[in-house]
Amino acid sequence: MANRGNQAGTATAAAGGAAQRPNGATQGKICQFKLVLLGESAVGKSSLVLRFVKGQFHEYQESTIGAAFLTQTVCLDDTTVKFEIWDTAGQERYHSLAPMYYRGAQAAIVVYDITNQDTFGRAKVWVKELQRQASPNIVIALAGNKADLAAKRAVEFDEAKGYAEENGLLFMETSAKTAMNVNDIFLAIAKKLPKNDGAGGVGGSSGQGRRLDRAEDGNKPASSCCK
Amino acid sequence: MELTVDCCLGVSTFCAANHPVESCGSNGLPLTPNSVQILGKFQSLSQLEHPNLCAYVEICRIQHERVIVVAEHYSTSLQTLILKKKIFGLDLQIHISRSIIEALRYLHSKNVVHQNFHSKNILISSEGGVKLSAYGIYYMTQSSTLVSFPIGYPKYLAPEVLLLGYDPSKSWLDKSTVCDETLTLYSSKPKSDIWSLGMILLEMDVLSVVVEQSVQPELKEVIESCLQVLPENRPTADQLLKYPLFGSRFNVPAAVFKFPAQPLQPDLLRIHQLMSKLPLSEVYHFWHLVGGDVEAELRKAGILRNKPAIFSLPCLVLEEGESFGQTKDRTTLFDDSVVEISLEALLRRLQHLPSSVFDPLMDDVINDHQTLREAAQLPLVIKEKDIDYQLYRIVMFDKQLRGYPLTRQAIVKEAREDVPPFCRARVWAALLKVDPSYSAMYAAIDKETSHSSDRQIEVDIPRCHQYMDLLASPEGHAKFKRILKAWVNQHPQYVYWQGLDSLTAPFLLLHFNDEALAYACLAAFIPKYLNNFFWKDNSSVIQEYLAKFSHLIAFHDPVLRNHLDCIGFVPDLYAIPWFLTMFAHVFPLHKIFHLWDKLLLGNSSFPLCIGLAVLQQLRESLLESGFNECILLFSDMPEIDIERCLKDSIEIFCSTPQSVTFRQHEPPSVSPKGNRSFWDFSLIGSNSTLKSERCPRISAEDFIELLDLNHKRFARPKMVVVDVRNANKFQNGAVPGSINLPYQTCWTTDGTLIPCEQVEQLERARGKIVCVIGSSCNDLGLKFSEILLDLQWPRVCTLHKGFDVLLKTQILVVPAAVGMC
Repeated sequence: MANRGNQAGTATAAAGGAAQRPNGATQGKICQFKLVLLGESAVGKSSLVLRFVKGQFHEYQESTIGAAFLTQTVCLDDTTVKFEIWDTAGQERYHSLAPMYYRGAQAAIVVYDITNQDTFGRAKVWVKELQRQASPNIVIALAGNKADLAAKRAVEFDEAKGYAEENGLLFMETSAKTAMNVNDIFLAIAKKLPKNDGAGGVGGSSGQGRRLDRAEDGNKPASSCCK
Repeated sequence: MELTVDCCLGVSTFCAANHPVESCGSNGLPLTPNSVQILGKFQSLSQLEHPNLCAYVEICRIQHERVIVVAEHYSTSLQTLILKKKIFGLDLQIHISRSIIEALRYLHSKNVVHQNFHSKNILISSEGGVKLSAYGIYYMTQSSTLVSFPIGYPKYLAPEVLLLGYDPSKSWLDKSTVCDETLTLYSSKPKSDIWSLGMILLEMDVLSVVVEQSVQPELKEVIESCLQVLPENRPTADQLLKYPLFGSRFNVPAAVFKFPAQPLQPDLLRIHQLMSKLPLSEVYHFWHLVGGDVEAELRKAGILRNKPAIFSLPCLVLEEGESFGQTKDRTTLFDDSVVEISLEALLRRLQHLPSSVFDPLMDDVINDHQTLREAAQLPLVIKEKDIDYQLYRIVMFDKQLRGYPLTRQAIVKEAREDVPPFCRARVWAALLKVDPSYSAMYAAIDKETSHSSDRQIEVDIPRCHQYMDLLASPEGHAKFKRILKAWVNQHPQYVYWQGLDSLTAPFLLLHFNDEALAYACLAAFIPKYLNNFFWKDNSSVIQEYLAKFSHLIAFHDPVLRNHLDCIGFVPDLYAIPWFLTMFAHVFPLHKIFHLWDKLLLGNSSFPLCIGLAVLQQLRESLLESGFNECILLFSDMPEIDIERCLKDSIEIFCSTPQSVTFRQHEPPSVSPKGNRSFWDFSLIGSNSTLKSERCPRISAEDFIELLDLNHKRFARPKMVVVDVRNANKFQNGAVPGSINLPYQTCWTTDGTLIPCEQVEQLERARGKIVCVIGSSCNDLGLKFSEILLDLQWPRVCTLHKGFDVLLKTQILVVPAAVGMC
């Protein structure tokens, strides 16, 4: 089992940074946002989330089928931002499921692998799709992951940076393995998200990010929900 | 081949070379540890079978890159005989040489180069058999590139091997970065073994020369031809066997060679006789079950010594991870000693077993022996460790499996009881009805041509159940890739979906040495349980499956269903990986083995029941949780008791009318009783209708069976029938014993049933299946059952197609007659 729990020794330290967990003393607003991760498979989406949420890294992170869901809270000045993170499957075939996850998302991280040019191309396609079909105010961040493998770099920093600027995206190169920029990219998104009552859903009251849009389920109207 | 009295297990150990610190492969993943690579290479060695080779039985990895190898062993070697100054007569020399050459011919035909010749690696059994040992180490260490010590004894090594020398720099070469030519250059060839053979023969001969002062000219020719400096001038093993010397005229008189082995205690003779018919790998499995532990044996023999970790710390470590000032740890050096493990303890442990256990088909063994009968009732994990029970089961399955496919029914019957882990691979293949000609079929499939899904397959394999060493080894990855490519290639109507890798893993692990069988099992498994799931557009298949899953939850556990529905926790969010991989993506493999042991006995609807059993095991937490907590619960699958889960699933399966889980996409052959016309999918229409209905429908067939008018099937009625048509229609004809609750008039304003005699009757039947019959021209039946569901009523279903479907059945009566029935 040793292979399975192959965590970096610095795991807890990385996640336990001051800005991370809400402490009981926080008095300010609580905002809840739905964030979705998109990108080609094996670029490190699940690893980024795992690093951000649990401070762990598994070399052999299993592939994601369908989607996975995790939450993490960050403190930003006097606001507590709770991310509800939908980590999606990367394989192109699961594409048809993606709208179910990004619908209603206030933020998205589109991930590519800096050692693989194709994944960057795929990231651009995702950005385009989000711009066209997701909520108009969605905050999109572009993450060039696996920055620890700089020796095998295939996507230049400047190229990606330029692309991100043109499209108004946040951009960082990250490494889930070394934890480089992982918390930072989530924090940057948290900063950019509107925290007035209208947008983010204070205290989870809007619940916009909580549930999947079930309009297509054909089920009984959501109003009968009891939560 | 029977195990002789002196046959024992030989345990040896060595350390694989460490990778340089912090290096990673071309895909960014850490390099596979060399010990894992050795594990993978070893597997094909364990398949070698030859009377002149000691069989390899098992390999395992322990900490610090150390591997332990278990093989057949005998205490007498050629060296022992030479040291005893035993004189080798010509007959004997010919016998020994011929045996070695036969072994070499076989090894070379399997592309295995020995390289490790020594007179102590040529073992002699008490029956006079000559058997090479330690012949696989050069092969399993990939021409010694995976270890940091040279392989082979200089005295026996061919000149070209010595000339190439030993290059420590190649010990950690990453095979993927080294071109094949380099490897070939550094690798020894079969002809080097021929030289070593010559040296061995010379050693035997010299002894007789010294003692008897005479040359044995017949052998001289052989030795000389072997000891040619240029490899190309040496004969091959095949050519050697054609020398007249090895012709039939020199048959070895067996008596000449026999020497007394340590005699077995008389009380063990009977059990030895019985055990000697079993393959050594099976005997080893039993030795393991009685508590045998190779690591402990090595420790006892003083070969493994623990050193406090602090003594192995280097004096200086650079930032890059290089370390200095650490004396070489002697324990990592190669030690060729072999620890002999006698099988006597095992025999002693088993001697109380009656002989009939070894012939289970002749007698009713299980009923004759109370201990076995008791063991059969134990929890799975315990009975898998019960040596008596396992021995009985394994011997029995062995016999049945030998008769496959004729004995398939018997195998299925026994598998219902349990499947011994040792036989699982073959039992699964039998349960999946694998065609015995699978090898040829697999050989004919193209597994090489590049394909659009190659990249996906390549990124998925190194992430799939990699905690299993075999699946993480390069051999494992290569096999994995070939099987998946073969499947994609062979099924043009389907595509590669992520998840197929998880489905393949259990088969690959079980049939690691029979890739074709692993493929055949996968190819049989998919149509049986995942028919059409791998269509390019599979959403209709999956949606139907999930809708049926929701129905099943509603049918058995309305409280849970209503809660999950209410918080919006739909199966789409968590159950796709469950069903798409038949749980292989969500549970570790040791659990999958137990799960699939039973799954393979069920039909294509059984997995739905497993899904419900999983939910029910987590029922308490789910009921207490909101959406976020629920989905977090499943993003890291909690501990599930598989044995309990299976027991529950079987219960669920048996108490569910078959038509509740009817699916349009289920494999055609399994539709119940062939009469599918009763069940008209066109009436259900699209999946969205199916999804919008919250209660399942049952077919008229199931209905009549459950109604059991003649009381033939069930002692007590299983089902209560509620007819929701208006009273007039009911009076004109109804199902005998049905309760009439007209939809229009039976509700109070707050949505509960108006109390009346019929409602009381229904209340008394709570827990039975409630089948609601509505008119065929409206959906009031469905609505009624959904309100019952809202009222947390269990086991509610609707008669498919409504009342009219029963008109032709001649079971209807006018209710006046009901009371007289």
